[in-house]
Amino acid sequence: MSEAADGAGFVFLGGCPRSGLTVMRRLLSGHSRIHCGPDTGLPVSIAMQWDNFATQLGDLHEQDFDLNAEEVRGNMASLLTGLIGEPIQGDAARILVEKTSLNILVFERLGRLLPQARFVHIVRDGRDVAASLLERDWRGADGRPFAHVSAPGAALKYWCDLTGIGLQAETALGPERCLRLRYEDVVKKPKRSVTALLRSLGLEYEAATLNYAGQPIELMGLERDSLPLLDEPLTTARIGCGRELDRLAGEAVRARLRELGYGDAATSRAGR
Amino acid sequence: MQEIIGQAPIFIGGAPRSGTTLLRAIVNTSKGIVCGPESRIVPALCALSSQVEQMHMPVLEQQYGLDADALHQRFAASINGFLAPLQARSGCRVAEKTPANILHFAQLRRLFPTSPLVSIVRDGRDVVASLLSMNWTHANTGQPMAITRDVRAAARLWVESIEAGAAMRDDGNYFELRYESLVRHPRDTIAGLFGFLGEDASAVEAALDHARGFNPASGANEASNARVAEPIDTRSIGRWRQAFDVQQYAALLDVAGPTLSRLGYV
Repeated sequence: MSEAADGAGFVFLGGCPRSGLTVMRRLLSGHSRIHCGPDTGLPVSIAMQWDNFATQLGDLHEQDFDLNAEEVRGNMASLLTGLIGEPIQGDAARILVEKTSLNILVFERLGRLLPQARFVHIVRDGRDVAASLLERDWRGADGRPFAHVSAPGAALKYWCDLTGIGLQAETALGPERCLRLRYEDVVKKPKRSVTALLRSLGLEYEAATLNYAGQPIELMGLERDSLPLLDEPLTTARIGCGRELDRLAGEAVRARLRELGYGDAATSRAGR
Repeated sequence: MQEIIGQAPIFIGGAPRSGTTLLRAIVNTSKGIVCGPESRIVPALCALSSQVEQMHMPVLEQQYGLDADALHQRFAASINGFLAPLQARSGCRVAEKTPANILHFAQLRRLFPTSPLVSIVRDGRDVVASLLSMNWTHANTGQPMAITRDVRAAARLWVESIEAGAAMRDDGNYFELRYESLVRHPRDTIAGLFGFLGEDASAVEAALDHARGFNPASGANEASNARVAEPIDTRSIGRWRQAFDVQQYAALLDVAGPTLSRLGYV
């Protein structure tokens, strides 16, 4: 299996949107052995297309085109790594980090598509995520705002659904391949969090990761929604911004909050 | 990039139910070309490459060092990778004939600058009549496809396919043939096609007996295999006359009338 087809050197971040993925880009971009660019959306598209080929056309392709499942996988894997891997091409010491938030939807599939790839599930208190989502003006192709940026209950459910998918992926991939990182830990104890992440990737901590303020970075697409915060040093000011939504959290959301180590609103506030 | 499998692959397309499977059987009689049943890979990857190009090119170019040419090469290499085992088994130049290829000919030209592109055009009324007799369902939902239930949806797909072919008419490596010519005048029509593809006169003779070598068991996605296994005839021309009621025919003409007229069918 070629390096391009096994995903060695590729790390995929994912999580519910507004969980701090662009902050992670800001931090990781400072590392000398990491390339972390803006969201491409490609891992999601290619993993889903591969799944369609494998599940809907696999028998046909094997019978009429001599294409076995491994060849189909290798081909789609090479397509993905070929499209985003140019920055680390020819340098086995460098790591490419791709941070499209909705990668979380296909972590499991990406794990099978690229058996050497690594994953980081970024999580954040669902009440804060929901509050941030409700500040967005994200609309569908029909011009209408998405429900999860319009209604508090839908925003909380969106977070609960995506974190649930992420937790399933964590189980499927195992702790060796999938690390969970809490936004709150990153902004409260950035050096410890970044060091742990880098070590899990076989890299040493570099001070440049935390000293990003003032360093130029080009934010693209939805990343620009986070622009006001991303030129400032890390802050804990956004922790607890969604506490008013606590009263709207149903049992499923509350159970998920507990599962991820977030207490109820009173406890969380005290902790903050 | 298109030299990966020797010669650039040939892509065949057309509105579904236009005779693409017959065309595949004919092409397969040649010594130098092998055409598998529809793989459905090419339209999917072309659509994906177009989507990436339209939505993500600035990010890829500025942050990932990938320009449009490199993007095209990556997707061409991927399509070639899917076709390579068939080429290796047969030792022949590969033709890929998924009907929906026609909708992506413009993108295929960017991915494969020297590939021959072949389309087959059939009377839209017969195409729609045939589509409405299919029991195709969506793989994900199991629901019937609109093009098999709705005259207007079927007619729109036919018009869209014709327009996609028409957009290629100035392309020097694009060849369009009519289904009706193929079944009425097979020798001359096949000679024209094979001349375009670089096949000689002996290949034309073999193609006139295409049913001898056609394997109806291949291609689980193809609905016409039993019919294509028969010798060429003209029975399928004009089948629309028994297919539509007055309202359906009016709806068809409402959508496809101008295109049918431009092509000389009405």
